[in-house]
Amino acid sequence: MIKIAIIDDEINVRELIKKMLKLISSTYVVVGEAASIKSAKTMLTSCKPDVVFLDIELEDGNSFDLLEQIPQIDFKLVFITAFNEFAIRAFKYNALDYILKPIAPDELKNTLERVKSMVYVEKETKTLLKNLKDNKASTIQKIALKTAKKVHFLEVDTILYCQSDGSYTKIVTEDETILVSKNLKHYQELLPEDIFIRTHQSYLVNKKHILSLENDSILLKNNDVVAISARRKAEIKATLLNE
Amino acid sequence: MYFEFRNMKQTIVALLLLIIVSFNCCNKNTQNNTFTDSEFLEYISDTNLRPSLQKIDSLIKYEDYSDKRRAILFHEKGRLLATLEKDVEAIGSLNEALYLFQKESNKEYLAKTNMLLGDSYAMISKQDTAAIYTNTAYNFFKEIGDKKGEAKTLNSLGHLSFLAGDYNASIAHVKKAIDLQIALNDKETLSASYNNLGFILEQTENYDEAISYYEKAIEINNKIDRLNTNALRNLGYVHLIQDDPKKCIAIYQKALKIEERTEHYLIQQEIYEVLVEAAVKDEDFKSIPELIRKKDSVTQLLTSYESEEKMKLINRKNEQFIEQENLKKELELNKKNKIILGAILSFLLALGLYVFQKNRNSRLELKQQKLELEQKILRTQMNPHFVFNALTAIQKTFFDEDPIKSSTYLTRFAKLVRQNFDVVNKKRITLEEDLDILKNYIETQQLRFENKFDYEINISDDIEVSIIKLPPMLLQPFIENSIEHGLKPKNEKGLLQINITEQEKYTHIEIIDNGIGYNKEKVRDNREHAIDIFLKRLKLRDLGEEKKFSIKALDNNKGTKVSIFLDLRP
Repeated sequence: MIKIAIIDDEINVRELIKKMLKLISSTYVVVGEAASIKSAKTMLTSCKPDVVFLDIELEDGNSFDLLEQIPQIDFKLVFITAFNEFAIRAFKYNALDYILKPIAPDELKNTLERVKSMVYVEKETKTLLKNLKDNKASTIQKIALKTAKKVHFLEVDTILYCQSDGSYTKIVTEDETILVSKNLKHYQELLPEDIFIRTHQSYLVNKKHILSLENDSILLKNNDVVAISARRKAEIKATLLNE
Repeated sequence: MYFEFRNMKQTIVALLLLIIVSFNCCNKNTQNNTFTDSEFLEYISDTNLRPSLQKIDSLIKYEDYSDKRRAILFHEKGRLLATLEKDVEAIGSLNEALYLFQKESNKEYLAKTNMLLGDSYAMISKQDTAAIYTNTAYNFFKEIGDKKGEAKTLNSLGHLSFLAGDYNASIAHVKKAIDLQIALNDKETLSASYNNLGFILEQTENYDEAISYYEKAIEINNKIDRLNTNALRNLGYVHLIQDDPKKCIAIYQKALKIEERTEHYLIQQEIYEVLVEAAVKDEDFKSIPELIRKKDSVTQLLTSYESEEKMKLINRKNEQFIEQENLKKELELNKKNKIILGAILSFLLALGLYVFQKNRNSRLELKQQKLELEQKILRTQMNPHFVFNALTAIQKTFFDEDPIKSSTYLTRFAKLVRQNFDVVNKKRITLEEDLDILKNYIETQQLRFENKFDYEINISDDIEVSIIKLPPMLLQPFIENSIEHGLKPKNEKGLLQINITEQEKYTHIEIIDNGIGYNKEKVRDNREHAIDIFLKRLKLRDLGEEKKFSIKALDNNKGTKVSIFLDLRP
């Protein structure tokens, strides 16, 4: 049995998730609900949920305030959001789990399965949340990369390029190469497009680290050679030369 | 049957034609790409410079060439511009070429481009920069073993050093060039180099050496029958400087003979001038009048028209001078008046311009503002937060297993979206239409908040809702605020009231809620943003309506009341 709590200021959303969960699997039991920070705090201590669904906007503040006010985050966290471009981007950057409203049943199911299989990690969630806060405060953007073993935090600027490897992506910096279980498209959407350019089916390259432009390849700072797509060659070169 | 066959035949013929034409087109295209470099150069050049430039420009713009070809195009463009003495533009184009050639590491063209850049910079008197480029060109020529280019750049470097006053460097460069030209057996440029070297030496008062180089140049010129008298005249002049007018005269007479063949009148004129100078020095006064006469006849040939014009100009200037002298006195008198008049005139002109410009600017600004507002209205109305939350509320009803109800909610929301798209570009819609949209909006919100509030719309009898018109969605932001910030956080069931009455010339609209009231801290951004847009829209209507607007918290924060007066008379 997995104990679930839902914190959202709209009753519709709470009802919807409850009803959907019932249909998905009987292993999920909703043990608590709340609409405000105040009620959420008491609910969390009394119900001890395994997983918490948490909307960003609450009646009396936002969910980050709530997370700062509770003594420990001894549950797995899934954010819910209707529309908040900033928040969605922040979740992606910080490898935090989230679902979108209206709620897609398979997304709900997959998220729960992923979260369930996670060995519980309070420290990790805390670092991710801290990074989210730091990213908000500073101009140096750090991206969280989750691998089986640990979470890596990389400054976006230090990434030389990303290379597609099936449904995985290799993130290459000058010091290390990290293999992450997300596809290249995910990172193309995530990384700032004024810095990163898709030069090839398999490559996303940081323009700042390009050393020189060869006929059908690009030489990077660490002497790695990255391919340029034959079909888009002219276009890519033009973009690179215009800068 | 026969007819049909004919028809088919025609179609086939047409198809064949089409294929041939398209094939030809393709052919043409591929041809462009399979040119050798020299063929390509021929293809882009035209005997006339300007058409050639135009052709190159359009090729750069529209054709997808390789970097090398693009580079060659820029190089040619730069070369032509330099020939037309448009050196600044030439530099721009040559820099593009240089960049592309660098990527290709094409040394031959890197050399050429650098050389042209050097020349262009020299033309605009940037000798230092010119020297850098020319030097680079020189090194490239050397690297690829192009002796001719090497010599040419050395000569340029010599010239640049000469201009910079560094005669020793200048001499060294030209001497190097000479060595190369001897090896190449390139007589014509060798002669020019000898002459240059002589000239530099002459400036440093090394007359004997200068003479020997001039003589070398002359010897070559004679051998290859080169009709160029630079060296001869330079040599002659050195003799004159060295007080040997007789030698000077003899040499200049030779030069004159050559220039009479080339019909260079300007040079002939110069020669006669020197001959006169030499004759004076030689005290050979007898021949002077003859020389002057000859010179004059050359001058006449050269400038008969020009001098006529000049004389006219001088006469006119003289007349003007007298006139001016006369006017001066008058002017002195008028000066004061004129200053005052001028000041008034220029002030009026400036004022006129200012008013005109301001008027124009404000009209443009107004137009811009209206456009921006339109977009903002759409955005506040179709607030994404509202859209997705409403959709989620509808989704929730699916689980109530009442498909008729779910369908009603879904279609109502669809209607709201449609109405939004319909009205956003309209200036005015009837009050009836606007209220219909508001009802849809309020009812969708009611679904979201599980009937947390009721609503009523009260319209007094004298209001003709289907006739009076107003800008769309003026009221929506206030209703949104009432629901989202007043009624939603309230624990008990709330009420939203919209009252519409007629008050003299105004239509008076009140939006009243009994929610948690006006919490300035929390909802400031959202609420004020909506009010800003609303007020801007009223201001643009220019009816003074914005001055009568008010929003206030009801006593003890028992809700909020918005009061709007609109002048909706037709």
